[in-house]
Amino acid sequence: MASSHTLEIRDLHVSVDGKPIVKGLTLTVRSGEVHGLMGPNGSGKTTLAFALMGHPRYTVDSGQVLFDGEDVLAMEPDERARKGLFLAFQYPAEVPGVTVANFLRLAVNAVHGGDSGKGVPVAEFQKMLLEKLQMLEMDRSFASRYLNEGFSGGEKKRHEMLQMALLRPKIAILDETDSGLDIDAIKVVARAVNSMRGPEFGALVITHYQRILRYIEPDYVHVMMDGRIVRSGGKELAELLEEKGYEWLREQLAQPSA
Amino acid sequence: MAVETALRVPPSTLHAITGRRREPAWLAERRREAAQRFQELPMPRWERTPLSEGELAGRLEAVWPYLEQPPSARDGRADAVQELAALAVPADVLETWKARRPGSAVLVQVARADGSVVHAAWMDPELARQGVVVAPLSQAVEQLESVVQEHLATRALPASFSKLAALAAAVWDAGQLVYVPAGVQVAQPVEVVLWAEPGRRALFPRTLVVLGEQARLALVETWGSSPGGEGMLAVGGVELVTQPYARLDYACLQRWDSQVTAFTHRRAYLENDSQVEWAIGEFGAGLARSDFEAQLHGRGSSSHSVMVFFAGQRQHLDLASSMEHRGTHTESDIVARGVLTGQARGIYQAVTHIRSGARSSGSWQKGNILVLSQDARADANPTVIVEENDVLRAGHAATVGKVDPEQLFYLMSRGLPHALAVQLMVEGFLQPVLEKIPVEAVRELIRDLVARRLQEAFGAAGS
Repeated sequence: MASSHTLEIRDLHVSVDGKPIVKGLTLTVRSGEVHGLMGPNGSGKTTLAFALMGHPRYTVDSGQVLFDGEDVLAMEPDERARKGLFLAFQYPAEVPGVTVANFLRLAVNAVHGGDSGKGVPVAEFQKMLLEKLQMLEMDRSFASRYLNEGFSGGEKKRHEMLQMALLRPKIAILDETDSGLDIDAIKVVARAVNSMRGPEFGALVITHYQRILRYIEPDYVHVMMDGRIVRSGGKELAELLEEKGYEWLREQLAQPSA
Repeated sequence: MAVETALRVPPSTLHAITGRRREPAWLAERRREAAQRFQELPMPRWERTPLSEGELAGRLEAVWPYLEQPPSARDGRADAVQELAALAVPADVLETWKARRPGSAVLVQVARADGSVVHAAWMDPELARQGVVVAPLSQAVEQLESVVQEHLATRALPASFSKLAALAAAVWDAGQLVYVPAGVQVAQPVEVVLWAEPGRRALFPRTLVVLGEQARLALVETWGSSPGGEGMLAVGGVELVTQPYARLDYACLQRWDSQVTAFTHRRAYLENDSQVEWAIGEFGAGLARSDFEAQLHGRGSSSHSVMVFFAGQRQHLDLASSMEHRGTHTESDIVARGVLTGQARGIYQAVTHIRSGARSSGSWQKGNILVLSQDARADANPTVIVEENDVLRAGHAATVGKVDPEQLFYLMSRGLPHALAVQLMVEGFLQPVLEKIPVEAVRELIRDLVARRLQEAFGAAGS
């Protein structure tokens, strides 16, 4: 039986170095749903993503984040990951000297290894890894490279998707995974997300452009400006924005009677 | 009446050492001369590891009677594995002993609490036939007297080098000779271990390695001790001599227990076109001052070094490396990476000295220290002194850094608990320098020792 999961963000306020960035954001993402979160640069999208994952530099000033009713904000980042949250980074950190394969094995064991401490059998992990590499059109030699070191922009994003595919999160947040990618690479990213779609997987796809939402059809689209969600709708909202731009929406919002 | 304050080796102590071993006259004389030097030379001046004359004198006062006492058990052989195990030799050292790879040799010596040293030795008969010798130094004095007489404390590490070098030359009580005759290439790494039992109060280890022309050897040496006892003073000397076209891969792993205070000089003397590749792992001791130096005398000689260190708790590690370019066309590199946790103090110094006349020589240094805790302190001090105009390359870089919070967050966001994420980052930090070590067995040994230290520092995180 498919279990359903809910990420509830309630009136969230987040600041960075004392500066308020997210200013009262409320949003619920359920498994089975894909939400697009669009917004101009500086609207607070990435801050939201980091705060949800627990980056120490991002301070939650007020509000709540609940995952299946549990207080996410009280959890360390690793605990959030083990509960089933995932963040695909826009700029993932380079960790020289640590191979992709070793890191992925440790991550998969941490999330799916259970309490036995035995972890996922090596052969099973290898099989899974090769399968996902293939899906993402990545060479198997990729696994022996050092984590993000010397990766091209596209390789970094594929690597993020590889991790998502292996960790099988319940709710994934993709922070501008489409930025800097050509259309072929965007299609690969979309394939990774679409392959996971189902009643047990939900996603919050953060993007500046509507482009990626053509390949990952969202169930809902939200627009974020100045730290808040200013409008929500279906996928047609993304198309409208693509056509008319954020300035149009800003003007609309400035005329409450319209 | 003037009070005798000079630091000196009591004649009774020297007499007891030479007499007990029935050493040849030249060796007794060499010890006596070294003792004289010890008395004359000034105290070492280590900026960040101050050692006063009074402190050294105090430590040695406790040691002399110990060196004089006749051991209750005679030095001898301990061939059986059970016997070594009974002597508190750790499991991984026993594995080394059991491995006995064809083409190799193993020598395990145990310095016992009663002052004696027992050993277990094995060598592929083919190596023995070729004239390779891996033996306790006191035994080698008989077995290969001419080699020992020619090289012991004469060129690589003479008593005149420093006060502690003189002390080590005067009273050495354990150690080994590793000798590879000209033209012989030893295919597999040779392993030598000197392990001290708990309760041992003092140890003066000495290692002499001599490679004849075109000889080749990879040597892995471990000095260590088991926990327990009241603490031990170890003053050691390592001498490496490579004759023309010889190549020595020398690895040394320092695994003293935290109760040990250790002072060690390691020095190589390189003749023409010979090569010494160092891999140094400093992991143990409560307080250790270790230095190593390659003296690039011969034209075309070269030496590269990789040092890895890890200090935790209240450990104090003061590590100095030095490359002395004297011959033309000489080349060297110094690479070091260290990790500090707890309240440890880590000092890393590197000196490259290209002397006038060492034309067409080159050298590079790189040192990085990763500090994992608030209370650990690190110093990195690289120096390059160039007295020659015709230099191919010379430079240095050193950093002291902390854990990168972005890396840590990234790893943790994938489910890795904090401790495991830090362990992984440390392994990654050391990986690039480990890759530079040519001998795979050494890379594995150092990785294993780092993993143990991480385990101690962070507990079992299930990697």
